[in-house]
Amino acid sequence: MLGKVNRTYFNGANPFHKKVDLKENIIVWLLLIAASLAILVSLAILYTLISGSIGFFFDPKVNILDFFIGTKWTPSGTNPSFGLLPLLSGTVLIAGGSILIATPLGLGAALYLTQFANKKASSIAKPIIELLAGIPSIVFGFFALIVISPILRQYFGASYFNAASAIIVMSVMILPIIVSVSDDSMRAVPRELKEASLAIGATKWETAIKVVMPAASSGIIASVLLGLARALGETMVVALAAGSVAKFTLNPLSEVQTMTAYIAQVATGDIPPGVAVSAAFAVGLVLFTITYIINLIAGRIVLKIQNAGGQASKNSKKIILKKPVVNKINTSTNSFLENKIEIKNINPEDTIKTRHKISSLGILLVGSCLVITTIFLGFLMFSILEQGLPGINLNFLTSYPSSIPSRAGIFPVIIGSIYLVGLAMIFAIPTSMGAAVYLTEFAKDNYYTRILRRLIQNLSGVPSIVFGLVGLTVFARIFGFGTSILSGSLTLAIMIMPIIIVTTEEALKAIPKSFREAARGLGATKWQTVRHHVIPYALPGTLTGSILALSRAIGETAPILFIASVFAKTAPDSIFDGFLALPVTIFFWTRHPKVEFQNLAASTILVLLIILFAMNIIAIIIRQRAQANRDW
Amino acid sequence: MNRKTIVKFGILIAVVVFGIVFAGCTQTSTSKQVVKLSQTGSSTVLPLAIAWAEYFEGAEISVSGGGSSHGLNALLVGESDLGDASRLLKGSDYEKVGCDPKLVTSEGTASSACKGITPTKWVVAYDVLAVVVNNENTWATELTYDQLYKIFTDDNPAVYWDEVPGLKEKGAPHAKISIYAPDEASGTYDYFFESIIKDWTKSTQVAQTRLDSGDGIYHPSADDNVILDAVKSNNYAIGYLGFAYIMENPGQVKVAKIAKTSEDSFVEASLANVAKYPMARPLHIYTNGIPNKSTDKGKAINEYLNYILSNEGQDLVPEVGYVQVSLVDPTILPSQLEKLK
Amino acid sequence: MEPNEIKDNESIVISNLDIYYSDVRAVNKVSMSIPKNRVTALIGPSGCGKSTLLRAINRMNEEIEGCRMKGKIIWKGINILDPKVDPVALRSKIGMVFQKPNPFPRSIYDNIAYGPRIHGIHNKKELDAIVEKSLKDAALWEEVCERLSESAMGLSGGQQQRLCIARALAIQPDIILMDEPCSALDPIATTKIEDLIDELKKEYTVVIVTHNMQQAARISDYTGFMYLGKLVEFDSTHEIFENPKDELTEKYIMGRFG
Repeated sequence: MLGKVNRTYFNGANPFHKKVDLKENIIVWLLLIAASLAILVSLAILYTLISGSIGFFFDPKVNILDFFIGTKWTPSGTNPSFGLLPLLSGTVLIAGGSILIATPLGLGAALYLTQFANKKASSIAKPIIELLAGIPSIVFGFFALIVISPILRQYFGASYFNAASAIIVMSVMILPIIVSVSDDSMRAVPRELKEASLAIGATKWETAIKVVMPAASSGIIASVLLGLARALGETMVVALAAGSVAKFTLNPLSEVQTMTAYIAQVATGDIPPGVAVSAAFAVGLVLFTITYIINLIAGRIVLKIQNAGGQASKNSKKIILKKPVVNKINTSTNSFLENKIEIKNINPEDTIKTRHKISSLGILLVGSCLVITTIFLGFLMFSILEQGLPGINLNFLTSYPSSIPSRAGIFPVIIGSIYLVGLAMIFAIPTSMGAAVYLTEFAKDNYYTRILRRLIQNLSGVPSIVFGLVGLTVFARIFGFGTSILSGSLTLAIMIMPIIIVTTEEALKAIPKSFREAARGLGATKWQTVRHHVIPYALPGTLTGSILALSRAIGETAPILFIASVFAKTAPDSIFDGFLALPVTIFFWTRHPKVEFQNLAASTILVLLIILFAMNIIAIIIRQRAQANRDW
Repeated sequence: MNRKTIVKFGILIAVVVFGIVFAGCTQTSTSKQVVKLSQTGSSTVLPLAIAWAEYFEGAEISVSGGGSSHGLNALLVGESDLGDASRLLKGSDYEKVGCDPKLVTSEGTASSACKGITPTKWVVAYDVLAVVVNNENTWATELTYDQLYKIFTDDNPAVYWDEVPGLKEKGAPHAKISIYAPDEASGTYDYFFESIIKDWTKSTQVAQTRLDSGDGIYHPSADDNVILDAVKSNNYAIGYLGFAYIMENPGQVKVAKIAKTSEDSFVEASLANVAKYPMARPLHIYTNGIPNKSTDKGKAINEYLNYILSNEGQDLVPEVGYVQVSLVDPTILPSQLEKLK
Repeated sequence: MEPNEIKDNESIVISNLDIYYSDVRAVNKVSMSIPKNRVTALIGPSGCGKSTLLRAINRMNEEIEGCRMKGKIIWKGINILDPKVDPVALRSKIGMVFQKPNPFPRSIYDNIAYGPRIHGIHNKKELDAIVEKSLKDAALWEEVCERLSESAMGLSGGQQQRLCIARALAIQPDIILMDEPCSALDPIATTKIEDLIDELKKEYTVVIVTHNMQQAARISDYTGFMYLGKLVEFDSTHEIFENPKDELTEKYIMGRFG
């Protein structure tokens, strides 16, 4: 009819055969490898825990039943007792308590920032709160011990070491995670939904609570989970402030030991190999399982909320709503109105005054959440500044460490940390994005993938000291990189990957399906779609994850405790060199008998925060631009 | 500011940062011939190690902590040249790396090498263990080993201060004892209880520590500054820690005078008294065999040890808060120096 | 429902309205009278300010930072642009339907019930009645009555838009504002909605923004043509399309630009 078709792709071959695009396949494979790395680490840790636990349970001194229901944990000595309940109660008390405080505070602050604050205020407040995330946990630990604990002792009769001081500071510590990730989620709620609500005559408060929050529920829950994982895995604050005696109690005023504190004690200490050491594996396994179950439950909750709202998952697996929403209509008349009931007049005037009152009260409430957070931060910063500012001078910043406080400086420490963290981010960001993209865009949504996803989420709850041991064993010794920057940054990279993966995944989920469908409809391959139409919009989420990850990487001591040095005469030349790092130097100087070194520790903390802020600012600016460009 | 400007700004910052970094690097890479050594281990020895590494000219030594166990472990796997330990080498250290624990003697030396490493012990300083009580405590300022045993172990332990034999007469009140002291992962803990519990860590051990028995009186902490603060804040508290912390923070707590038995006289804890003070523990550095002067590295380690054991090196010790070897045992130094020749 | 009295103050009188976004003037000294119980259409090329003008009526503009309004809009004897007027109360009397259907990610029932619930109606039976009436008024009841508890996101585009109309009707407004309600829909859905609009004007005052001239000609009683923020011409639809007074209007109608 139309004559010979003379187009290049109809060159004799069947044009409807699936094109085997080598480049596309390679890229998908690379993404798969990225995802596998995270999974590999998870599985490796799980394997270690299981094999160690088997050794523990088969030890003659151990009674399995007693492990699960015993109330005494005295692992050392001639007559050890291995009842897990005290450690469990310690963990539940502290992690549970801090999440209970941090979640409403954090959600309130995020709500205020995204719905009620003006743009300028929120663009300043969010980075400041994220700065909180960078304060090393050792600072919080000392704050709990030196400032909070005396108050609790004086007015509440608490013991010297008590859980309450740990709970209070831990809430502030995980607050930035909840605020940051929820904030991202709430910002991603499409403007039209808010407009629809406002146009109906809802107040801003009602819109925020009834429309925005449910729409952002997936991200909100993810933020709480990340916060909880952080709380579960925290060691330093607990060891310093809550104590090291395992007690089966839920009384916050008493001394407790958490599961992570015990693991850390075994890992860093001199306890001889034996049943007390293998007990740590069993405890680690229990912790891993608990985190897994929490993630499982949270996943179900998200699915339920989404199904109630109607965002069908790829499988459209129907989950029955518990409550029937609607009365069954009368099928014979096909109507509710059996007896021609009068339609009630809607008189907005009846309720509007109350609604405005509630609205003002609500806004005040969430605004105060923000204020409380800021006050605590201010207080903390003030203490650090007071103790540390005097010590900061050019000499301090350009000298090398010394046994004499007046001569000691942190030049190589700064260099070491920047190298370390920079390299860690270079390893972590592409791999995490790749893993997240693979899991969200390419992997089939089946049982297997979901388990993998949960394994990765679990990683964020692993105590950092475990990563320290993994780093030492695997990177320094097995791979042979030694106590070098390379080992250190690889260790940090695997520790922070889960955070970036989770936030990127949330961002990817928030992108409307229509974007992808539009591109595919035009004939783009999956990878092209993802690269041009999905990843750019996920960028803000990745950046948030990176900011949080960076804060952890630069301030955590435990992962690099066995790899970093505390003294050297030269700065590192290459990534295979040994190095010093800010958190380890801080850790060492806070324990030093000389008070001058303790003051220098405060100065070092200030420097750490400044460097962190500088590194974060770039990410924050890019994120703000990316969020402004978002058009849905 | 648009995207391009931000990118440029970001690149500028990155360039500046790396510029500083590389400038710093080139500055210090002048002497390429210097030997590099690594020293790791006990956090008690750490301040000393830093002082020595700082003043020693013959090599570039990087120092890190991680605990005595880690130090010995790093030595045995060949990761570190020097392993600092505030305790002796134990069979368990050998066991951890897969060698026979029975090869380790009770002196903390090994009769046979492990995976090619022969751990060799060098005593480099002594640490005085101070027993401390609150400033308001007037009754427990002089204590014997027996009294310490009654307070710190689970063998019919005293719950109240006036239950401790001999203290009621000194005015001990009927108040509960609280203990703030190192945890079982610390070398100080190990040494303290070795002193007061017979057959410590042997199967015939006569009693448990109060921490192990779990009666809640013993509150451990890994941070000595915290122990100091805790004892300072609690009228009925008692604890023990390295004397260096007392030296640096005088007047915060009272240091008890110790006597081994009731016949001995009570000795005050101080650097001067160390020969008579019963609780002074040796601090060690372990190396792989006696450092051989034929290799560059061996020569450097040999010179380093020489420096540490020399008058110059030992003069640094009291400045850090520890005790010179010669003040406790004058014979060890010369014999160690002999070995190095 | 209120009796259908013809009161003069029931029409919307816009006088000398200026709307600025930061320094840009989007609406320039617009004056017009929107009669009650009629369909008034606003037409004009993209960027002429018609949507902005529409949103001024229920003060949705205020949600955008940097928006300033000068002038008056008098309705029921009150200048609704007066800062003393509560926008929340105002919007309860005005329903809005947007260009892209934006149902809440909830069940169909909950979407409709959202408005009444906010205004204090919690009784199950009362809500049922309102839901049914609103869906019937939006010509959607027959299609969804057996699946009210299912998600609104499962409906087709046209159904979703009618759902949004029903949702707006549920709060018993006096005015309905529609911002290009059919531009995202297929012709059949569009026809259904146009028929609906014709029914709606019996009980409500409808103002509709559309870039589809033929639509304006089909369904509206009055039409205002806007260009670059100014109201060029406002007259009965018949006059505008058969007998445009302004040359610009004529050009636009003829499709010479737009």
